[in-house]
Amino acid sequence: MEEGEYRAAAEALRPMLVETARSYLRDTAAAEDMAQETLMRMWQMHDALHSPVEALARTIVRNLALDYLRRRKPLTDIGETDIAAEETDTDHERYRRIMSIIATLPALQQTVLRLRLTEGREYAEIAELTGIKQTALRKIVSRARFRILTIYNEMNI
Amino acid sequence: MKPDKLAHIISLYFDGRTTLRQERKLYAYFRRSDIDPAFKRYAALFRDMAAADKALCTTVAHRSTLQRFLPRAAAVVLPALVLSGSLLLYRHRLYDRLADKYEGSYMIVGGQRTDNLLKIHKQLARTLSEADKTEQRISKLKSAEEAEQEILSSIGDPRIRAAIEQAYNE
Repeated sequence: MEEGEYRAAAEALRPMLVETARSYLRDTAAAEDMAQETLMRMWQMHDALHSPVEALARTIVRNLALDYLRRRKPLTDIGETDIAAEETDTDHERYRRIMSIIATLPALQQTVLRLRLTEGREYAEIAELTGIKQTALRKIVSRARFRILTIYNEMNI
Repeated sequence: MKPDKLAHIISLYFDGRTTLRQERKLYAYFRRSDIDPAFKRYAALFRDMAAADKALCTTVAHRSTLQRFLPRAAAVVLPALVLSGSLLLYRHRLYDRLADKYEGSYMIVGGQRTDNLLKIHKQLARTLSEADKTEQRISKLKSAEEAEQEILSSIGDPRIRAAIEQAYNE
């Protein structure tokens, strides 16, 4: 997607993104932040995207809003995250840990991995949402998973 | 899961070539306590992935149950609602028609007065039908009498008139 095309799409999507986020967060200021975060992520991967991108944008803002509700704080850098690996970790702690790590990945890897992991979408569905071919998506997922495995090994989790 | 099969799926997983079903099987394996020691280094990662996927499974199971339940409920409830609505409408319109014909009518049923037209309209219809037939009979009789009188009055000879009158009366 060219820059001009992205800017036009972003302008058109902004009100919908704010409204969607507000329906989850009940907070206009936070909703605007979510909308902005969504557009930023989409900008970071705009080279790989193809129009239309409304469905993808809606999915991203919804996931961001749900993450925000679960954590009640902005996404953080992995360095600030307490990721001690105890056998007694609860599912909630495990969930927070993996989502924190995913949040450190490049925007496109984050988006595709979330669609795959937390939404359980088939590659065909993700291809339709993003306009990215399935073979490319598998490579994106592969790189993301290897990166996560490396982090786990480095942190000795 | 056998070690060689597990190794194969893990390899596919990191190549991005697993299906969702294979991924969930992988996560389910690593949630167990008796993991093959050769694969322990993957345990933390797949357990964390499982936690994120479990959230999905819970949501999807709930939605699936709901999605399964709602169409079935709708399949039962909607026709029942349509039928009930149709019956109510039919009764309402029937009552309007009956009111046009029989408004004000009542009957004594079991010693009690009832003016519920839906209950008594058939008896009302029979009663009115019998009354119509009686009226028609009386009407025919009157016509016959009038015809007889006309014939008699047209006969000039009184003896012939009396004979014909006697014949009518026999």
